[in-house]
Amino acid sequence: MVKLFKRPLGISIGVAIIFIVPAILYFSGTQNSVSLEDSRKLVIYSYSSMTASWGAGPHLKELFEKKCKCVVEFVDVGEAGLLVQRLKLEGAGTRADVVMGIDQLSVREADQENLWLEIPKKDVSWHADLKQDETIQKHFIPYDWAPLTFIYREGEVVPPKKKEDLLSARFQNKISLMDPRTSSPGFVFLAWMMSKGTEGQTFLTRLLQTMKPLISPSWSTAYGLFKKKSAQLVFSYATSAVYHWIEDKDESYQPAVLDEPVPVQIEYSAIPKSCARCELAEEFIDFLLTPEAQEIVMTKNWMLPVVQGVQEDTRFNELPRFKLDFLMATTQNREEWLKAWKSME
Amino acid sequence: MSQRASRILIILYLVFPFLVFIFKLDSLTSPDVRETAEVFRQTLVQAGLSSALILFFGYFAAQGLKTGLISNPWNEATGKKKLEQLLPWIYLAPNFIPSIFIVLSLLNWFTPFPFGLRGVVFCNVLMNVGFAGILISRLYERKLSVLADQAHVLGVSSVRFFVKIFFPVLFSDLWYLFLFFFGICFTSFTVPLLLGGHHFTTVEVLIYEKIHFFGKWSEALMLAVLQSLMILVFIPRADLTEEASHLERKSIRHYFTNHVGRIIPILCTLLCISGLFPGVIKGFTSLLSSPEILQQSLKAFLGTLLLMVLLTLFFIALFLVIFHALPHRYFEKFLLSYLTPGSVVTAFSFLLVGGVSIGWSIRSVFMVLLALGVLFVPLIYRMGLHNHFKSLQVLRERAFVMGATRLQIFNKITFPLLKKELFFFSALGAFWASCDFVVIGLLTNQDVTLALLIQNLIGSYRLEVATVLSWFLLALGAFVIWFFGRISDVRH
Repeated sequence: MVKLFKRPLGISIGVAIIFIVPAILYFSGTQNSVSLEDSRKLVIYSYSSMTASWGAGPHLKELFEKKCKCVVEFVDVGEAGLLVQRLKLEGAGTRADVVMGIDQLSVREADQENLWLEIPKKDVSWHADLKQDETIQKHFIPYDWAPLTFIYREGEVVPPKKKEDLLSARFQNKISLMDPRTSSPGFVFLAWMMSKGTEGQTFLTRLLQTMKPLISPSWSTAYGLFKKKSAQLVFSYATSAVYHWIEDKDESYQPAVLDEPVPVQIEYSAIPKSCARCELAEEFIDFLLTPEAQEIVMTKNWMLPVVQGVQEDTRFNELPRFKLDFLMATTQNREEWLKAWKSME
Repeated sequence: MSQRASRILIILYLVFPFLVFIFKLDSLTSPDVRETAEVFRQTLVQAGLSSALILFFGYFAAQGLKTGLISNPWNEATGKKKLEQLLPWIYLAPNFIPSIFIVLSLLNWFTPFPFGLRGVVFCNVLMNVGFAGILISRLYERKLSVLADQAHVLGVSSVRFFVKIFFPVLFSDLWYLFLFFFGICFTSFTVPLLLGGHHFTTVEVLIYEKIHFFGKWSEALMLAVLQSLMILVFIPRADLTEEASHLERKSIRHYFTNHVGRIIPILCTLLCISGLFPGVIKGFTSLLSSPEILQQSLKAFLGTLLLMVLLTLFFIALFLVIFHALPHRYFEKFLLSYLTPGSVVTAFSFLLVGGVSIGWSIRSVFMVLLALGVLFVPLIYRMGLHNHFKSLQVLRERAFVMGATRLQIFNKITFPLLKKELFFFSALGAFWASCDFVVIGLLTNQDVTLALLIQNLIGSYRLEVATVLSWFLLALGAFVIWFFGRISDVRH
C-alpha cells in the first residue's frame, strides 16, 4: 500500500478514497437543508444540549411537525449565555422565530433589550413549586426548571445539611464549582451567595480561601471532574441525580437537601419581534406547555416540567422537596456581583 | 496576480474580523483601564514564562529525537527503528488531545492542583514541550547539521559548539520560536479558563467575558485590537540566514543527541493521555447501545475528515499565495507578529457576513474555511514555514536573474523544495483547526465535527462516550497528517 502512494495514479486513488467517497456518503445521508425562506418553516434558536440528536429538540421537532404540518429547524447557537448576544448582534436580520434557553438571571436584562413580541397569558396549571414572575410573563414563558444543589455519591462523603457545612475539612479541595463569568449555573451560585449581602460574600470568600474548590469554566467540566472523582461534591441541578438513576442505573448519586432555600434555574422561551412566522411561533410556545412536550423536555433535557400532571409516576417525583429561592438579577446586580467575585482572594 | 495585490489581499483577509465589527458597531468604547492593564500583565507574565520554559525543556526534548521529521509509522521498520519513527508522534500527542481531558488527568495526578499562574504555565509546558522539541530538532537539521559535521571533524568540543555555533546561528530562529509559543500562550483561552482559578484572567478570557456575560462587543473588540497591536509594536525585526537548506535525515547528530532528553516529552504525553483511558469500555458500550449517538458520531467523523482535507488544501493554497507575495519586510513582520482577534470575535464576524447556515452547505463550508484560515494561518506560518520561505526566496531570486519564468520556478524549485514542510504544517494546522468548536459551532449550528460532538456529549453527562470519540479524533488527525506527508514524499 505504501508503494501505491508513490505513483501519481495511486495518489489520485488515495485522494478519491479519502475525500470523494466520504463526501458522497456524508452528504447523501444528510437531511436536505430546506431554504430558510420557506413560509411554513419555524426556526428555533437554542443551546447545544437541546438541539443534539439525543436531546429534547429532535423529539419536540418531530411531534410539533405532525401537529402543525410545518418544518421545524433547530439552530444550535452553542451556549445559552450567547443566545441574547447573538440576537442583539443579528438585529432585525435574525432568522429566529423562537428562542429557547434564557435563564431567570438574565431574563430581566433580556427584557430591557426590547427585542421581544408580547405573548398572550397562558392558561395552564403551573407546577405547584414554580413561582411566576409577572413582570416578565408578557414576553417570556418558562418551559422547564430545576433546583440547584450539591450532588454527591452516597457512601463517599457525608453530604452538607447547610451551607456552613461546606467549610468542613472533609470538603477541602473536593468541591466542584463553576466560574460565574462563563457558566450559568456558576452565576446562579454566585448570585445565591451574594443575595445574602455581606454575610454571603464573607462566606464565599472563606469558602474560596480555605476550601480551595475546583473552579471550572463550564458545568460540563465541573461535572466531569465530579464524575472522574476529582471532586466529591458538585453544584448542579438536582435532576442530575435522576439521570444517573435512570441511565446509569446508579442510585448512589443523590442531591443534598439543605436546611435553607436553594436557588433554582428556570429556562424561558420567547419570540423575537423580528420573527417571520410569528403565529407559528406562538403555536410552538403553546405546544411546549402541553403534557407531551413537557414529558419530552423532562426526560431528554433532564429538568422538571413547568406544568402539573407530568412529573407524577416518574422517577423525577422521587426527588426530595427543596426549599426554593427564586433569585432574579438586574444588570446592575450582575456587574456588582461579578466585580466582587473577581476581587475575592 | 501581482505581489503587491497578494500582500494587500492577505492583510485584508487576516484583519477582516476587525473590519466587520468596526463597520457594524455604532460606537467604540474602551474597557476599564485598570482592569485591562492588570489582565494584560497577567497574560504577558503567563505567556512569557510558559514560552521560555517550553523552549528550555524543548531543547532537551529535541536531543532525544533522532530526527524532527514525521515519518510513516506503518512501514517495514521494526524494533528500535520503529520506536524512533514513533517518537515524533508521541511528542506531538498532547497537542491533539482535547484540553478537558488533559485537565482531568492533571487534577487526578496532582492534588491539590496549583490553580492560577503556576497551573496555567505548567499545563502550557506540558502540552507544548514535545512540539517544541520537534521544531528545534528540525531547526538543527536544517541549519546546523552540515556545520556540526564539520565541527566534529575539526574536533570542536560540545561546549564550544553550543556557545560559538549553536546559539549564535540559531538565535533569531529560537527567538521566533519563542514568539510562536508566546503567541499561542498569549491567545490561549481554554487552559487559562480551566486552570486559572477564579481570579486569574487572560485577555482572551476577558474578551469572552465581555461578550458572553455583558454583551459589550465594543469593549471586546477594543481588547482584541490592543492585543494585536501590542505584539506588532514589541517584536523587533531579526535577520534570518539566507542559505537555502532542506531537512536532512542524518544518522548521527553530532553534539545534539541525548536519549535522556526524550523522557520529558514522553512523561508529558503519558500524563496528558492518562485522562483518555478511564471509562473507554463503558463509553464503547454506551455508544453502541445508542443508535442516535452512533449515527451522529459517524456523521461527525466524516464531517471532520472532509473538513481536515479541505482545510489542508486551503492552507496550502494560502501559503503559496503568501510565498508569492514575499519578500517584503513589513509584510513579513506583520505575518510574524499579528495576533488574530480570537475565536468568538472571528466567528461572529463571519456569521454577520455569511448569515445563518445549518449543517454543511457550500456557504457554511466556505465561511468555516475562511474563518479558520484567519485564526490559524499566522500561527502555522510562525511555526517554521517562515524560515523555509525565507531560505527559498534566495533560490527564486537567482532563478529569476538567470531568466526562468515564474511557472518554471514554481514547478522546478519552489514547489519541490517547499512541499514537504508545506504539506506537513498545513495538515497539522488543519487538524488543530478542526478541533475548534467555537467557529465551527457558530457557523454551522450543528454538531458537524467530532470536536463539537465531544463538547456536547461532555455537557450531557456522557463523558465516557466523549472519551471514546476523542480517540477517534486523534486517530483521524494522525491519519490525515500521515497521508499528506506521504503525498509530499512523492518525487516531483
